[in-house]
Amino acid sequence: MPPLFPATVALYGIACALFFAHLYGPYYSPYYSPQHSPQHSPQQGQRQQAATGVSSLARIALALAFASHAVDIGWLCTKGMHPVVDAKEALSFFSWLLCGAYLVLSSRYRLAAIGVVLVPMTLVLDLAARLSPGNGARSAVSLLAIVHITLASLGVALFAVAACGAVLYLVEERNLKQHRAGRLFRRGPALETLDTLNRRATAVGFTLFTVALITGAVWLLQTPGGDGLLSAQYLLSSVAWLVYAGLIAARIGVGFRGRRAAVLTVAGALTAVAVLVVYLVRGGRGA
Amino acid sequence: MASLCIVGLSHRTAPVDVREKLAVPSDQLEHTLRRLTELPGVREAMIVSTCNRVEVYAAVDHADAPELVRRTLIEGRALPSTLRAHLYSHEGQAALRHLFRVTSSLDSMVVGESQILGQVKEAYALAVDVGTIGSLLQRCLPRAFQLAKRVRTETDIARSSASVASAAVDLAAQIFGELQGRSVLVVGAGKMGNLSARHLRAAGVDRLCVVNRTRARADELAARLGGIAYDLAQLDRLLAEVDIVICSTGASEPVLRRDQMRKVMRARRGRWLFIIDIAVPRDVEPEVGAIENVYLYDVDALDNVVRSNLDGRSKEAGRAEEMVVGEVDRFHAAERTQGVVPTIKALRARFHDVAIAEVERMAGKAATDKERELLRQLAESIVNKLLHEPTVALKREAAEADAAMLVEAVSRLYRLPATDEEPAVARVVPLRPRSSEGES
Repeated sequence: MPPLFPATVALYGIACALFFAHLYGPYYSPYYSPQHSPQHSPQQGQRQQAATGVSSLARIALALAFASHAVDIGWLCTKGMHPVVDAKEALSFFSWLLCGAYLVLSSRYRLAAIGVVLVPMTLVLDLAARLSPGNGARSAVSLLAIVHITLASLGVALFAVAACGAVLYLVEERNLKQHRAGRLFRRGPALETLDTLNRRATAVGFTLFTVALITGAVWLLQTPGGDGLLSAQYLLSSVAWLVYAGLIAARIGVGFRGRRAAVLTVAGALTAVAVLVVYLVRGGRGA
Repeated sequence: MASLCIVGLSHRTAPVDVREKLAVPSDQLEHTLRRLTELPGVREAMIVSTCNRVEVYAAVDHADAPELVRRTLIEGRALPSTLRAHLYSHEGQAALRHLFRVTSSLDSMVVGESQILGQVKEAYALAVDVGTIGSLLQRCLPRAFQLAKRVRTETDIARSSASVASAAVDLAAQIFGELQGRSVLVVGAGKMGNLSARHLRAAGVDRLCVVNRTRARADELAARLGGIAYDLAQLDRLLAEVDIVICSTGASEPVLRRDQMRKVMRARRGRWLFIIDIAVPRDVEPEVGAIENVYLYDVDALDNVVRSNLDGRSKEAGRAEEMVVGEVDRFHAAERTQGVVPTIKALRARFHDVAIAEVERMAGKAATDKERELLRQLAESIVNKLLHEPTVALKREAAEADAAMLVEAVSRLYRLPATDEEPAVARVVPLRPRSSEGES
């Protein structure tokens, strides 16, 4: 068990609680400004400050959890339990990347509502990785494998963040169409922000995933035995790549955006996550 | 004696598609008012027609009058009789309470908003101009305006008023995020549309375009809002450019149609478009809301959002409701007291006449003018002293309960002449609304 694991879990837990507190806190108009909206009560300003404070604290707790998690992963690598050869380490590594991707993106966009889904997911994945039996492999790994696994995991993590944003978009969009102002209306990011997040996360994730697919192909061809490029994992990866390629082409070509883009993002992410699941089930044997 | 009666519908009983059918266009208000007061049993009338309510306030002295008003509103305007299901009517004390609640903004879509008071004042001023206001409405309405003012100053009901306009800003921000760099198109010159445009402008919207059927009106509005006026012919081009559209025209037919908006959305390459339709009848075909990436909000849809913004308001609304109930009681007590005034006047006249006649008979020609004046004063003083207790008793009885029996007894005891005289009323003075902000 890595030395900082209890601290990591505790910090993830605190971040989760703070994100929930932010979502279920008292109402305030996120766009309140005393100069622009004198019609709002003075309470609005106080609530806005309180909510912003809770959201900042949540991000600080998450950043500390991320750092603590990084120390654990580094410590395990020094012990030879590398994500490339151990499926449970791969799972923990993926959850750490997911957290990192969220931290980077949330510094730019108001994504506390996504944190409510994504941070518990990170915590559950890390716990699952730590509490499941591993293969205990301690072997030297090739640079190609490290590059492939790292890029593929980071790409899928970005797809996962984009998919969370896409799901949020679909929920918010339905609420707006049906004229319902629920809690997400009060706390969720704007539709256009979610679409921008989706576009950027998908674009970066797609680039990384493309390189991962190429390195994976080379790695597979170098590895004796197995199904090579016809393996279920590689075929699934290709399908996910095609979905995202289609999405990006449609965005650039015909101004594809909004609901349809969100649906395709979720479909692509499900395929990409399926690749990860197959990888984990097979115990981290190649791309 | 006439009693107050209200027949109408509001956002509480009818959706916008029903309200827009029953709305009385401003150019037909005078005609409708005259028709209402020509009905048997309807002595006075006033019409409040806003995007959230269509109500006739009438003084009636016949039990069939409310039904006649209903007929005039529905069948008289060739509207389907199914609309009757949405109509309500209040009479007597319930009607007065409703009036007080409406002017105090307790019955508003946005509880605590100030626009309804201005709208009722406008309706009252118009009815005064047309000459359909009489003594009853003239006593009720100013009282309602005073109460509304008191409610606004003595409770916090208006302070946290989450208006439709600010809900529009919140929704725009929910779709677009930051509003800096966004553009708004205002179609029509409705007051609520202007208010929403001003709120959006204040929230950071950069470009504001105004289109109106009358170019001069568009120029005037653009100057006031700090925007640019365009010809109506450029509407489609502007729709393809802007992010937010506010419609508040007085048109009876939709201004934006589904097929037109489909073409516009193709030209926009699917960019999000937020349409606020505050007009009643609506300016935008409801099917436009089904187009992808178009978010259409009419007054009822905005109502949903506004309601969810209301918190901590119920306590203040409760206080305001108590004020309304107190005012209704006071008004009725005052009205009943007014009811015995003719009897008191007749009683005093009878006593006065007897006393003066006796003074004249006893003094004859022997007394000097000075002595006669002294005797007259003495007689009047005795009459006043004798009548003080009965006068107070009559007024007290009238304020606390029905004084009809006592009035009858006094009239029979002293053989007072029968009187149909209405309580004294002051000259009718039209009240001009101070606020220029109306809903639509």
